[in-house]
Amino acid sequence: MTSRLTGLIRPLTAIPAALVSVGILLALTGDDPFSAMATLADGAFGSSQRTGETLTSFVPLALTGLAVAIGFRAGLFNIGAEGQLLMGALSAAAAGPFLADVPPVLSVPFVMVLGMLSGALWGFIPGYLKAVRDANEVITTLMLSYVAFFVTEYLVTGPLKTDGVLPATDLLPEMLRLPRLTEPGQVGIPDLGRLHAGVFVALAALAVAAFIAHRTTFGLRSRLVGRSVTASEYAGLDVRRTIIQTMALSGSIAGLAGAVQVLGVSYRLSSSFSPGFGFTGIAIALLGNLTAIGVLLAALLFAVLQTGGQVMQRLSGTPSSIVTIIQGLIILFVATRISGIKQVSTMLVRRKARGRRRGEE
Amino acid sequence: MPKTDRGSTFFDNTVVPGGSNEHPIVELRKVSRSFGEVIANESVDLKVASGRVHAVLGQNGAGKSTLMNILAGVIQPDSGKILVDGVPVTFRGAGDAFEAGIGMVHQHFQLVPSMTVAENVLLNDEPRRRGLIDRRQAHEMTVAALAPLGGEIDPGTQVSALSVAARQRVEIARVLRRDVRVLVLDEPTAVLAPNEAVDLMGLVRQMADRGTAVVLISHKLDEVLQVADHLTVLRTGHVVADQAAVGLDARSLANLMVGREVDMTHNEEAPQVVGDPVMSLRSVSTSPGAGGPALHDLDLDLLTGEVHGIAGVDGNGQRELVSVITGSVAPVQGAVLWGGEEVRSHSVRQRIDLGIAHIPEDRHDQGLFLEEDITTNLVMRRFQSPPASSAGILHRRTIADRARSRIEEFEIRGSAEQRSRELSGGNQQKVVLARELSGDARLVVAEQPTRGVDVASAQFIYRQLLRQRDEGNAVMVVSVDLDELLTLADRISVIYGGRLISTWRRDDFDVPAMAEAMTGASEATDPGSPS
Repeated sequence: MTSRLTGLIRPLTAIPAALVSVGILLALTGDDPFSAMATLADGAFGSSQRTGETLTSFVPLALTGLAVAIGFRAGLFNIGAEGQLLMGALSAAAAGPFLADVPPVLSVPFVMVLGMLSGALWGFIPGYLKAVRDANEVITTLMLSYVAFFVTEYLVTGPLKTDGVLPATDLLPEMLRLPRLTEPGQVGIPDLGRLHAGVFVALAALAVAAFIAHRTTFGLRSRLVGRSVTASEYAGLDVRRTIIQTMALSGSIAGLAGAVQVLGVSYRLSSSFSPGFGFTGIAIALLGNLTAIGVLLAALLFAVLQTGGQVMQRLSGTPSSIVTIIQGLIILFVATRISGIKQVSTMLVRRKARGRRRGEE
Repeated sequence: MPKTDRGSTFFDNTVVPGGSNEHPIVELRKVSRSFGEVIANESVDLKVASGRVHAVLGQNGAGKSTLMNILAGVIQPDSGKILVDGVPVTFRGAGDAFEAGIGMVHQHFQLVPSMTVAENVLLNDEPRRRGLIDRRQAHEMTVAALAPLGGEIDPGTQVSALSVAARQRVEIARVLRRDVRVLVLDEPTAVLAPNEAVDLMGLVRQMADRGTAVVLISHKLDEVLQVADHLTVLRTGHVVADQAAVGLDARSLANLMVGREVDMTHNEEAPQVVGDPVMSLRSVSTSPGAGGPALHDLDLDLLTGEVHGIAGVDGNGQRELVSVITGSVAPVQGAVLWGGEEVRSHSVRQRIDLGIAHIPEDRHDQGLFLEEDITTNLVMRRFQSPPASSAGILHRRTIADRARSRIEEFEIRGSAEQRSRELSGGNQQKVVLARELSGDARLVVAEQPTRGVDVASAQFIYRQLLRQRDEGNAVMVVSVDLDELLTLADRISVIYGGRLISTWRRDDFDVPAMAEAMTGASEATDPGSPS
């Protein structure tokens, strides 16, 4: 446990470094960095609604970050969480209208499982191709993301398009929507805006993932296969099966992110459904040092930046793209120093060596 | 691009062969170096003179590697002086030492396997014409560089296709091509078969006679005594002997290294009652594949209470044989019997559960997860079965308890949470042994079990393997070191070209016949080999 926490210290030092750099950038462009940061913080936490909004955007970021981390821990560069998320969202949005009369105790979990299965399928395919055909998962997951993106694009503008001008599916029936934690106008309770029950799903997923990683044979097997295929084969671990299972698990968490976002926030799938949750998840996984607790903290940070940035742009006119710059810089600072990325780069080197060895044989 | 002609360099060297102590090429004076609290070298003196083979001996952890790395500029000393031709110098890196004429051939070759011999030999120093590499000249330069080393190596061959011995020559050629006056060889024969080792030692002698100073690190005492002119023995970072090699024998050297009497004999007692076969291979053939020849129609019985040695030059099917036994390769033909039951389609994991322990040749790539802690490495082959886990849930307390007792029992110097990368080579091998030998194995397969470990560790490993035998298990030892098998095995089979040529029992070990069989010379006359 201590080692898991100390692993987070170095990534955390990247954050002040990034903020200082952005401060300088803001000063150079004539903005007041301190007031901009203050507005950003105010935007993220200034009211109970804003805090609720921040936590709302935390949900998909935590889940996609977790999905990516699960793959990376096993040495599998699943950079296709975006596509897996879209497949999860698509199945949730497509199944919704058929479940209008089913009690939510059944229909909500059903839709979540459906989303996980769709995401798992989108992770299984590259996993299978890697295990059996030795296809590089970086390429296959990325390409399958495009497939997912254009499939959803086609469906929301064609077969599944709702009436009207919007390129989107029908809205989910009321019964199927995840309940909000607070309703506006309740007396004595702070209004948390759009924050929905999905936040508990995200927290549960993080807890389950931590358990799997540290307490189960699958978690250990998955990590060992990521460390070394040669040693894993010697140890009698089923490398192919592990790769396929891990990719499917990783995909299923991204799929869950999509389903929860549909059930709790958008209630439909539209062509602007995801602002790139799956890709931000890569940054979150790395900043979080590939651990569940790290992903939790990193997703919170990114949620603060995104929500705060939008408010900042509205209130002070400072462009919210500043937030993107901060995120980019954090990753840059993390990449130049810490173990999460170091692990990834040593895995890349080892993979090259492995490829060489294969060539030798 | 100056053309380097090795031959003329050798003869231009005016130092009289035989060398003289008064004018060393390189001298280390009172050199000390510590790592944290560990003192690797303390006030060490070393004089390297031309025309001499200078052997540096010591156990693992005695400070040999540190000293050699200081000599080769890789590590800087905390205190003390380095003098080249009597002038004090400071090496800031291996490049500086190389400039001064000191080249080192590391135990793990620094070759790029996917590139050709010529590309490796000339790496970073390629002859160019109009900005492009001049292939014809490169070929000639490589031939010239390889010529004094003997043997036929085609500069166009990819290094990965070469035997270990050939790779080593490429490595030596690469270092010698620059005007190297001091050649440091770090355990060069550890990877060679007996005849190859003899060839290499001949080559070392020749190089010294031509005036090169050769510094030789080795664990094989007999071989050191044959070739070395001068010996420096290190123990716990200090020089305990520095003298001419004349008049020393292996036993006194071993005692110097260890600092106490070493029992150099291992298997004098008659073996216990030899029982039934634990594992039998019947007419096993494999498809030609990775790294070595396919097995042809191979029969082998591994009996309880017996150490069965597999002798042979590297790359004659040893790896395939081990793979068939441990389950990573399925034979295309023949039977693999475990106590009479066919197990040819059992996976590696199923064979572990049957009771097949495996001490692999390569600790770094295969035997350990270097980034994982000792606890995980001790359980890596068994965590998917009880008692380490049940129903997919790890029993962490059981795993931790067992790890603690194994660390104690096998005297592993390291804590349970320590990553195995941070351990010394000897302790890494102990982790492998502790894992493989403390279960309920019925068959122990050990590949090159003492490669790269010192005398005391080798003794420990021999004792452990013999204990397995005495407990009634079958032990198979694969080694390219025939001496090792002669001391350890109750029965020795020679493997050549994927066939078992012949088998000798301990009471009729015939060393000349074994050596002949290892070269394949006796294949035609052996009645047991298929025609």
